[in-house]
Formats: sequence, C-alpha cells, structure tokens
Amino acid sequence: MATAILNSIKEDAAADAATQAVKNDVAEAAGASSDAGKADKPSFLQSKIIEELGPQLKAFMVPVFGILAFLAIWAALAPAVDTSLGNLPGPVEVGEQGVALYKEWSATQADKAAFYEAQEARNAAAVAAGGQVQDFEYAGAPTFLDQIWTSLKTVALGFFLATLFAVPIGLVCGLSKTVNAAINPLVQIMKPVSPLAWLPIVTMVISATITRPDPALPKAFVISAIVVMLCSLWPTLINTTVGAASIDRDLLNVGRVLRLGWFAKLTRLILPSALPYIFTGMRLSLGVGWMVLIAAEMLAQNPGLGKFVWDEFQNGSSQSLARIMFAVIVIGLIGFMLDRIMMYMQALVAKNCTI
Amino acid sequence: MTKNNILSLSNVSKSFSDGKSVTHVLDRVSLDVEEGEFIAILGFSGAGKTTLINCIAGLEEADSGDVLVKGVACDGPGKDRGLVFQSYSLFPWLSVEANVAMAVEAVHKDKSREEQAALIRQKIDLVGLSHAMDRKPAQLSGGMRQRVSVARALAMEPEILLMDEPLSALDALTRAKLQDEIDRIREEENVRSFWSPMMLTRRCCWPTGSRL
Repeated sequence: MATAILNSIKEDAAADAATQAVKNDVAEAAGASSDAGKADKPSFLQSKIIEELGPQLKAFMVPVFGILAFLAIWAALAPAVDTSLGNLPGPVEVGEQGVALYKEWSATQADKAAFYEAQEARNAAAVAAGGQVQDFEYAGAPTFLDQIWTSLKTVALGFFLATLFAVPIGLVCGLSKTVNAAINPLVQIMKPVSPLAWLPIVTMVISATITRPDPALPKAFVISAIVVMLCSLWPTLINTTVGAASIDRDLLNVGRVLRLGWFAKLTRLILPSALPYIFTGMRLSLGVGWMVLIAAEMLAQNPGLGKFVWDEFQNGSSQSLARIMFAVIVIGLIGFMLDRIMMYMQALVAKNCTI
Repeated sequence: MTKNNILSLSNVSKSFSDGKSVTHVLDRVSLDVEEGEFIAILGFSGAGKTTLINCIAGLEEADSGDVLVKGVACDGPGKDRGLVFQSYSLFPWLSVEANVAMAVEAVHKDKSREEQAALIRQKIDLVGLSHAMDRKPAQLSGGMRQRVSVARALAMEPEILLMDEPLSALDALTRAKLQDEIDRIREEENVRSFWSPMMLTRRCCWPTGSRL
C-alpha cells in the first residue's frame, strides 16, 4: 500500500514534469511564431495556462507536499529512536513490508489452490478405487488481506446491529419526552465506556450462549461485533433522538390535518425528516466502530487487523515494527474510506431534505 | 343558530400560559358562517388570527366555548376542513405531485388509483403548476410553493377551506396574482366556505382592541 502511495506520488511528480514540459513547448511554439527576442518573456497562452491550472495545481500540490514533508521527517527521525527490536522503521522499510505482506498473500493463494487441486485429485482417485472421499479445509494461517476482510466483516456486523437498535430507540426517544427522560441518563453513562470494559462481560455472555462446538459464526467474531455495537450505538441513538425531536411542528400539523395514522406518520413524515440526522449519527458511529474494533480484536483474539497487530507485537521479529506501522497506515486508510462513503451518503440524503 | 350555518363559534376563548403569566388570545369570540360565505379575519400580528384558525381546524382546543361544524362539536382535525398553512409546510423531500398525492391518499382512501391520480392532476392543473409536477419545493418560488399548499388543501376536497395568511410571505405583485387565482379557484371549486385572514372580501371581522 505504501509503495502504491509512493508510486502515485512519483506519478504526480511525473505529471508535474509533463505539465512543465507542455508549458515549455507552448512557450517555444509561441516564441517561434513571434520574434526570437521575445522568446524568454511568458507568452499570453502560457500565462493563460498558469492562470487556469494554477488554483487546481495548488489545491492538489499542497496536500502532496504535506505528505512528502511528513514522510521526510519520519525518515529522518525514525532511525534515532532505539527499541529492543532495533531502530524504528522509516517509510521505505514500511513500504517494503507492505510488498512482503502482499507477496505472502499471493503465495498463500497459490498454496491454497495447490492444496485443493491435490485434494480433488486424491478424492477422484479414491472414488475410482471405491474408497471414502475426504474433504479438508485449507488450514494455512490467515494473511494480512484475509485479516482486513475479517475486520471489515466484523465492523459491518457491529455497525448493522448498532443501527438496528439505535434508530428505533432514538425515534421513540425523540417522539416521547417521557421515554427520553427515562433513557437519557443511561445513554449519558454508557456512552463514555471504553470497549475494553465491555469485553469481559460480552465474552462471558457470548461464551455461555454459543455452546455448540461448530457454531455458524465463530465466537470471537460475535464478541468483537457486539463490542463494536455497544460502543458505536450512541452517536446514532443521540442523533436520531435529536432528529425526531426537532421535526418541524408545522409538518406535524399537516399530518394531523390529513389524519395520518401512526405508521404513515412515522414512515412518511418523521423518518424522512429525521434522515439527515440519522445519517450524521451513523457516520460518527462507523468512525467509532472502526476505532473500537482494533482494540476489541486485539483482546478477543478475533482474526482481524487487531489480532494481526497483536501477533506481530508478540512475534517480535526485526520486521515486526515495520509490519505494525504498515497495518496502522492501512487501518487509517480504511477508516478514511469508510468515512468518505458515509459522508457521500449523508450528503445525498441531506440534499433531499431541505427547502 | 340557523340550520344552514356550516360553522358557528360561540364564546370561544383560548389563553396561553407560560407558567408565570397568562395571555388571553381569544376572548369569547362568536361567529356564524353560512354556506358559500367568504370570510376574512383582519387583525394586527399577534391578534390571534392563527389561534382562531387552529381552533376551527381542530389543531388546538378552545379553553371554553363551542366550535360547531355543521352543527356538530369539533373534535380534532377532520377532512371536512382543509387548511393552508402560513409557512407553506410542504414536505421538502417530496415532489409537487407527491406532496399533493399524500393528501389525496390520506383522505380519499376509498377511491381507486386512477381516480386518485386524476384528482391529483386536476388540483395541480387548477393552481397552474402542471409543468412543475416533478420538482421539489426547494426548486420552486415562494408563490409556487404557496400554490402547491393550496392545491394540497383543495385535494382533500374540504367543505371549508381555511387559509392562514396564505399571501403574507409574498411580494405585492405575486400576492395580487395569487389573490386573483384564489378567487378564480373559488368560483371553479365547490368549496362551501372560505376563510382567509388578511384578505379583503365581502364580510370582514375586525377585532376590537388588540385581541380577537
């Protein structure tokens, strides 16, 4: 991933060089058509290009410059920090580990394919000989990409459960002052609780609930997802409450004049008008959920990015720190991506709900 | 009270209290309205015009006195009384057509889909917005929004149309235009009684003092 970024930065630099080259070409062309003496003066066309591209180029270049400056400072300072696993890795080492992790994944994929191919051949032979067919699952260790996928699934389940609970409860709280008064203190107390405090309780409850030896969903997965749910519930709940409570009184009166039943009132009036608030809450919830997930996975030993970080920490090889740093970057990028998706959906919803 | 009084108010009083002081907004208002009458209520802002309209529409309950609609005591909002709100109160997430359709579907549940669709079309045509059926309220001008609001109230096919300052938020030119249009609609539509604060018409009620 880091190398991909580096490559894209290189491409940017190349693109800039290309723009510059275009400018030079234009300048040369302009110079050739006019007097040779005027060639070093910026032509009209050239200044026009700078004018047009200037703001866009600046808007693009400033963040790139920020990232490059950060990478430079990181590269310069990291070797100065000494740990028991050697110096802190710089951006290049981290990028190398990113490539290594990708190679591990492709190697595992090839290995897995070979395993299943061999198994099928064995089974075919067994059928031909009239023997028993034996199907085994590939039992290789999960790679980094598998861990990312597991994490995304966990956060999706936790976020889905949180939304499932938070939106209806929030709507009831928003519509009834009494219910809100009853629930609000609980919400305020539960909201700041750390995922680490929930984890032992959830672990005990889930371990007692899922007792089948081969459950449909692995225990650790359910535990992480429920911890994510418990921590990411609150922003959605609070925002839905505010959304349902702040619905325009006039619109409610329209509902009364039209004598809408409670279900029509809920689905056609309250829900659409609270939707922008609900989505704002969901965006915050997803952010919290993603943050909580890593901690939950570390402790619940659920396969995922958290476990990857923990395993690398326990492993303590000379590449471990670089791998953890690479995981940190990936965690950040995925969080950023999830936030962008929610932001887009939020904007889409809000567009339809204002006069 | 004669039999053909479609609406009659007798000694309607309403006051609001904020815990410390009590404001008497309506003080023993009595009024009889016959079928086909067009009544305007005039008053300074804060005189209680909207409160009176809300009492008739059934959105607010009078502290004392009776509101009789066709001789029956008013008990909450009903589909015989259409209301055009002061602040348009359109649903911003619905198109013009869907805004009117919401009223039609809520009130004329017994009609078939085709009849409902025809009714929606007819009311939107009536207010001259058939070209803007699919637009959202945000894409309409103030006057157009107000016309949608009128179309929605008419789509209930009410016997009494209550209009709460339907023209107050408009500029003079748009107001005059819409006023003519409301007059025209009144002639075309078989609404038995019109109520409209701040509109000069045949019969005016002028509140005494600062309150109704």
